[in-house]
Amino acid sequence: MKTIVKRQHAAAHALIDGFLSGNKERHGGAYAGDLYERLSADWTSRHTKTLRELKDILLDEQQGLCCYCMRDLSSLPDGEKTVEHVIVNHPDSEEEYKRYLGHGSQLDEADMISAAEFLDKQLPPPPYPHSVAYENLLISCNGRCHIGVNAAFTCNNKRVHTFVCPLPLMPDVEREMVYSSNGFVTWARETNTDPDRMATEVLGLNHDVLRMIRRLWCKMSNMGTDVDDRDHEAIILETLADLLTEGADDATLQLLFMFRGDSWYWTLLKQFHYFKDKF
Amino acid sequence: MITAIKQALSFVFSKKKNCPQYEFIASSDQKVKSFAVTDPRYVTKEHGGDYTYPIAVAAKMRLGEAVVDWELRRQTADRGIDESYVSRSEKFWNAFPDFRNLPVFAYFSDSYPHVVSTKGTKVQGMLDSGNPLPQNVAYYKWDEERNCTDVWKQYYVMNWKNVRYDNEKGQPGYIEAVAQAVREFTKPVSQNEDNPEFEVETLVAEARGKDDVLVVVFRDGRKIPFDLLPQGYHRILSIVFDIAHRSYLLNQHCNPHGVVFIDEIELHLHPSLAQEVMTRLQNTFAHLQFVVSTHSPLVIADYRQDDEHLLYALTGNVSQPSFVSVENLYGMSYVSILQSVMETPERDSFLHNLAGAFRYWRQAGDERRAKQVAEKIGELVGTNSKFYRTLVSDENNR
Repeated sequence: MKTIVKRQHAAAHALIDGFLSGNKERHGGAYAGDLYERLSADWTSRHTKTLRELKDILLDEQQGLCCYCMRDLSSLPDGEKTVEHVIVNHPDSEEEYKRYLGHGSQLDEADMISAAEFLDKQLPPPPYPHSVAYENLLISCNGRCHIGVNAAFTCNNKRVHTFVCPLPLMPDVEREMVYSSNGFVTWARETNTDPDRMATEVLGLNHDVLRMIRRLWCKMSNMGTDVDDRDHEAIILETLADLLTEGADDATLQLLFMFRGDSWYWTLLKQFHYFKDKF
Repeated sequence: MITAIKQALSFVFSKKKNCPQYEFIASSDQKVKSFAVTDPRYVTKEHGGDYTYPIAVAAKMRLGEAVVDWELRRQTADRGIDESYVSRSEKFWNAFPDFRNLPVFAYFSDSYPHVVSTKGTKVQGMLDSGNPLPQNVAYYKWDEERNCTDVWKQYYVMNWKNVRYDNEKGQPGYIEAVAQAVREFTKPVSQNEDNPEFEVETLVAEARGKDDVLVVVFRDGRKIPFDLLPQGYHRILSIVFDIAHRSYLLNQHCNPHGVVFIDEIELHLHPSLAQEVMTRLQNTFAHLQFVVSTHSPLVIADYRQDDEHLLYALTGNVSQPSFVSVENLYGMSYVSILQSVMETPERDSFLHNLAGAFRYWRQAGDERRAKQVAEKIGELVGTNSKFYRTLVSDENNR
């Protein structure tokens, strides 16, 4: 994982400002409704979708990578790039909203209040309502990592509304996220012992497929092979030997074999080129 | 192969005059079969359009303590079948002096029962009379690809109604015997009571529209017309119904001896029924010999081989088929059976991938890793399996 530095405030705020003033105008002089939902349906004066333009800004500052799993989304269709609310769109309460603050992330400095408070006060931004605030929004993959399986296993869609520390907005996250050669990722500052609440688990970052992908990247790095080498059979077989030595279960071995040849899984692996220099 | 056995068995229908069975056979529709143009040994027109003579099919049969072996042989194109089989046919019939306890012959092709045979006017006349069918109708079209279940259905419906309405022509013993065979076949075979919905209570006739149709009453209360049964049920129950009829006509009971051929027995069956079908047949018809072919690993996976239960794999090509005995598969997984016995390519499978890794390390001379992979394969298919032994011992992998 990598810290995403929020620098494009001017451009992003211009978009949000335009949306919010339009919203106010359409509702008789008061901000109203589920703001993020309204934002999704909003159009700019340039006849492009406001959210689409915002997504482009976000993707650009993330260099096209998913904020959590680091999959390269740039070659994927728009529908596979989802907007992640670091502070969930609908926190149950002000306490829930405040849980996300005080972790040393960029959220702490953001000129932002909860959407509930914003609608309550009805004052023009800043501060921005969190549900549409540039500072609170990231781009995530859609969490699909099995071919033909219509379910989210990772990231935004796996997390849904569960609390997770604002990792991509924390300054040292790149150093704190430790990727092992067997593919596992752990967060050095994790304090939860309950697996259901650990950040890496809430985000599904240790899903079998992601682990295998990182293991293979590590293997390539050790073997000095390039991902674009025509035949990657040797990488698979060397990894098989490792797995057998570790006593991996059959499901893991079968998963490994799915990466043989020009498979869907090998294409997926290539989208995780972030890990090329991680080991 | 089945064509050959069926043809060989037709020797019992020899119509030589003065033979003990003459009357019995002469009034049946059966006769000794010659070599058909559908025999794979027949050459096509451009190659002369005939057999290479002499041509023969030979067989051997155990009849109680006695063994009868015979041959149907044609020496040349202009001669009929040698009559050496006639004396053997007599020997066969001598084993049944009063035409009692006769063996059932039945054959169910892979198109059975989808293609219905037309009934001859003779048989239709017998059915219309309402009288019990003669004994030798039991061999009616026994070896045909098409099914003649229609005859039995019509006969059953008629008798069921006659029994129900106390008509003197009704045969309550027959109705009960056939229903009992179906009941026996469909009752759960295992302790875990698999397929309870398959269990049949009885068979009845019901008026549906203008016609009276045969209806299956299941133990759970469902009533389904026989012809509307799901295909798997329809085929296997048609088979049981057919055997039961042939048996009853011959011997007034449904526990016959004889030989029954079933081509691709697993057709349309749910996997759990395919797994049990041999057991069910043997439980229902304990003295019958079944010669069965299958393309399903389910049918043979739970099949325990012994002196009376044999398993062969058909190998070679169409013009030169050969049979090899298959080692005991009892307890082997379906996947291993598919691969090692049914020679289904292991392509893209887990085992294939592991086998590929094994060969890779072996050829690379890394025995330690080859052994590691071999151990995994052994764990999956057993070190005694053909798959494992072939892989590990194949010198080409070195």
